[in-house]
Amino acid sequence: MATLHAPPETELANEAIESPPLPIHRVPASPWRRRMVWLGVIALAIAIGLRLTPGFPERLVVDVGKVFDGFQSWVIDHNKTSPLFVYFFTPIKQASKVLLDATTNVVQRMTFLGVIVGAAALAGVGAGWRMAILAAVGFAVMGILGLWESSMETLALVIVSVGFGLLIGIPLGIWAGRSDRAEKFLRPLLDAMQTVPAFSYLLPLVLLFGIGAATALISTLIFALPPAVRLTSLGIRGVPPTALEVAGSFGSTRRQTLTKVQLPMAKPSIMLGVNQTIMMALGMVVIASIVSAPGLGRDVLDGLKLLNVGEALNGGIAIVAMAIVLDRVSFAWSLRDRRRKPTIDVLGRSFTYRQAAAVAVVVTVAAVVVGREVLRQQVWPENLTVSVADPANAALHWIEHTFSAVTNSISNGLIRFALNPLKNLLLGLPWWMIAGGAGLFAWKVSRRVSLAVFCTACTAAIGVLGMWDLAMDTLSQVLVAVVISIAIAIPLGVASARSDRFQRTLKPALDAMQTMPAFVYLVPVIFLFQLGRVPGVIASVVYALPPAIRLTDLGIRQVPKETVEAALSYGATPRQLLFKVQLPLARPSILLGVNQTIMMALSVVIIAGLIGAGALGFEVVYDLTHSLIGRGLVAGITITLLAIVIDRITQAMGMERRVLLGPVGTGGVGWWTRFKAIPVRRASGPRDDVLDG
Amino acid sequence: MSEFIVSCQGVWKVYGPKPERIIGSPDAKLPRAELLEKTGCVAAVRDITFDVAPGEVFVVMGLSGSGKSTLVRCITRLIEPTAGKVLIDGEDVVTLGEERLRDIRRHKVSMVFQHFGLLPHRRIVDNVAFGLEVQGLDKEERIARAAGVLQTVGLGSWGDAYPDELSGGMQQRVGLARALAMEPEIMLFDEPFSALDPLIRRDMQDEVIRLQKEVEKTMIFITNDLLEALKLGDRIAIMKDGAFVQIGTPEEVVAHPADEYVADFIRDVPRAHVLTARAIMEPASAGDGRTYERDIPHDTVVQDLLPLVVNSDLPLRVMDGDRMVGIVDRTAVMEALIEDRA
Ligand SMILES: Nc1ncnc2c1ncn2[C@@H]1O[C@H](COP(=O)(O)OP(=O)(O)OP(=O)(O)O)[C@@H](O)[C@H]1O
Ligand SMILES: [Mg+2]
Repeated sequence: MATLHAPPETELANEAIESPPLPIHRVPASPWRRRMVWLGVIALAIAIGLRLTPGFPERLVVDVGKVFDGFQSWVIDHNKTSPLFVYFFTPIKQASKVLLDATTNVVQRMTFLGVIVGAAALAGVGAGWRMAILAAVGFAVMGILGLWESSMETLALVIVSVGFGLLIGIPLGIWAGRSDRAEKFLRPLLDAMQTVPAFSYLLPLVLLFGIGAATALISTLIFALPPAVRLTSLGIRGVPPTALEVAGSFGSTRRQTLTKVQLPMAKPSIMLGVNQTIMMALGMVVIASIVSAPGLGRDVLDGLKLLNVGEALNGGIAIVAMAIVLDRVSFAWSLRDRRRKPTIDVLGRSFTYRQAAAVAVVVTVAAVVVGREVLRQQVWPENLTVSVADPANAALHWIEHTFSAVTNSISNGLIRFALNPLKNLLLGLPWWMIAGGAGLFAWKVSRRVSLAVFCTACTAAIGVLGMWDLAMDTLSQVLVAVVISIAIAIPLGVASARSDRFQRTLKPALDAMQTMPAFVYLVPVIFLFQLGRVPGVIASVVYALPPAIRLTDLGIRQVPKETVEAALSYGATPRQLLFKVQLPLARPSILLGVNQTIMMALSVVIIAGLIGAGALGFEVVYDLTHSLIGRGLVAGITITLLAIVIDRITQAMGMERRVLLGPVGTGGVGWWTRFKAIPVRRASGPRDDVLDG
Repeated sequence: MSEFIVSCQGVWKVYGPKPERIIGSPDAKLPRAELLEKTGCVAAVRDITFDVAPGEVFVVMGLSGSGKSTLVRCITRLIEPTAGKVLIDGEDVVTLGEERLRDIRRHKVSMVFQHFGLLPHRRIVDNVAFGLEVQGLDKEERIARAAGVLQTVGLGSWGDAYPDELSGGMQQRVGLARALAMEPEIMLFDEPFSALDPLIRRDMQDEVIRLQKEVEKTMIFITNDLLEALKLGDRIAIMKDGAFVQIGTPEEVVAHPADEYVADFIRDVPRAHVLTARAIMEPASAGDGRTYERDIPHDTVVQDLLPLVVNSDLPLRVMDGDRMVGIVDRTAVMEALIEDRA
């Protein structure tokens, strides 16, 4: 061979390293042995801990609530005189009320016919005639359920908060997209906003703005802002540098670069941000019913309070209808690509956008006129309504009767073998052991002393706030829900990654699950499990499943094809392939799924305070309804502390050095690792383009 | 047992709806684009037949999309061939059960990949030991063996590092080590060096040549770089649109390209570096009484003949061992060089 002239002896590989005597490679001890040692140490610590004084000592508790109560009295005394209120909070409060009333008013005056036709027309122009039909049917469902007025109140709240969210969020996102300094400054804020569970927002706002629409609006705004900022910034940062260089080389000003290059190219991402903002807003608007926000949330809440499950279901269905309409329409809108299809087709005819928009306006105006002048009817006509409340209540009794044996044993099992033992364990250990354990664990996964100290301090702070027992109760519920959820989700995710068919089957279910606001999950579970901790845990399990399934699937599918081929070509069995290659490489993605699952489970466990799950969630609700602002705020802070500790630890798990640097560090999962916490939807499919682009 | 260690017979790979129907039908003869148009199927590999002798380096080269990767993956059924036979040591791989197929993958054939296919979460030694681990070797032994192989590829001290700490060239040495650690009879390379920069690529090629000399493996080597093919290959197959257009020694291919496509390929090859005395000589078996400048071995390349004919008017006698096979004179050498220009 080598008929070609052999090249002169190269100085052997500028990169091959002169070799020392044959190195001895460390043969690492079996990880199982190490794990057993760890387990032993932990078991021993627990055994000792259970003999020590349990819980958090009373004498270390600081009554922070009193400080807040004092502040509240001050607010009550001064909110007519203090300039802070006179010139800042009160005007905001009044402005939001005026704006909300005006919007509600407009929506009502459009009459039901005008709203339905208008929504359909808007959806049609933006997203095609199928979406128009979907919108019309969705709104009709709200009317048929007899919840037209509440629905319009909810819609008005969503419109206003989304409007403000985008008005503030998109410019912030542009700023963050174009300036690293802005990004650095905004990121921790956004992280915080997305870590703090919805319930905790409400209290301080109540303190400043009182109970009512303003608080609802502002809490929704805060809740819905982050995705708009993040996805705008992401879109702008995703513009390829060459495009910017081209723009620069032709002498564009910064403004021209923004409007002619960056914004158009970031549009898909920004539109996705709009979609997410809308969905977050809807989710929060219904929760805000706790602070007397009007709308569908109130219907569900009243149903739950009065144990009229049928009534709650009625409201729940209406919320779902609205969620589906808003989500699908805005998502379809975000995917629309005018360049490829400059017309919209209705029944085989093509219209330009301008024509379509004109038709839409005319049709809507006509519908409004008909509604006002001909039908003279603002809300959906009473005689066309069908409430599901009564049949649902009947069904409830039947279900209680028929399945009570099964559901009771699930209930009892969960309580006896999971919830109670765990709660007793957490309450039986001394506080410093748990706080120290959190710190140790944080150190173990991150190797960062600062994080360990931070986690220990936050955990201890929960005790100092006097919320130790409630927090441990909440924590036990979250842990049980997470373990069950992960145990279901990872196998499903693996199966879905291995079979396209299974993935396709699963997709509509996951999409639907991720469209519904957390609040709605409470309704069906109390059908089956009545009130208490168990329905809360079950609702959390279900609510938290989709991200873990999708991120497991995504992680496995992102393992480079060649790596899989390499393993197979060396004779790996499917099992070896899964455990030695796919799962380890999918680890960051899976851990991100775990992180998401935990945060989502936490949020539902807290909302489940509404259906008798007790603990911190109930504390917040109770304090809110009894005007115990100080105590409620303390509970809210505790929830936040709990969320932050759990979030930081699980995030650190996903960022272990070895896994982060692999080829999976980029692309969709990398994106998640960096930006996290926008609820994961459609992890595969069209969104990937946005993420990778 | 045949004398060939690998033997492909009429191998097809067709992607698309109901691929089996294409084979044997008149459609099978259609060019790729028309086939796609007509049936929605892509014939990535069409009717490939070749044999590789033990210890041979068989190079497959062709443009991007010509089906090289698909072909090499059909050999161990990483891609399931649509039709045909693949014999390894006389055993038809296509009909094997999973168990036996895995055996072959574990013991007989190993592969080196274009983008290395290393596991980023494992140390270098563990990567090299991966194949052994899959076979079920215990930890001490496989790590010891992996360390030994690492030594032979010049990465002895890097075992505890992780892949992302290595340069591309070093990573591919790890890929090579991983394949060698299996002690396979056959090694498959799918464009192993095309992701590397030219200097490192040359080092790696030399490395392969050295290894081939030392361990006498059978190699099937995919490349899209003609110089690499000429340098490494005992025989070269040129692939176009899924089919072989020519198989031959590097010299045959350069001296007698089968068609325009191949001619195009070799146009930029400096022929003087490839053509040997045998290719340009005038065959002759016995001395006709002429005097010769000197005897030269038949595989001397034209490049090396040049100084000999320039300094003397006498022709050269071409020898295969002790036997005379032909005569080369100045004119023949000049003609070979002039063709090179054209
Ligand atoms: N999974 C697949 N489905 C359909 N067509 C495929 C598939 N994989 C490969 N092909 C087609 O088969 C043909 C051969 O692909 P292959 O990857 O074998 O080419 P190649 O010669 O290795 O090219 P390269 O030099 O780019 O690696 C290509 O035209 C490709 O489009
Ligand atoms: Mg290839």
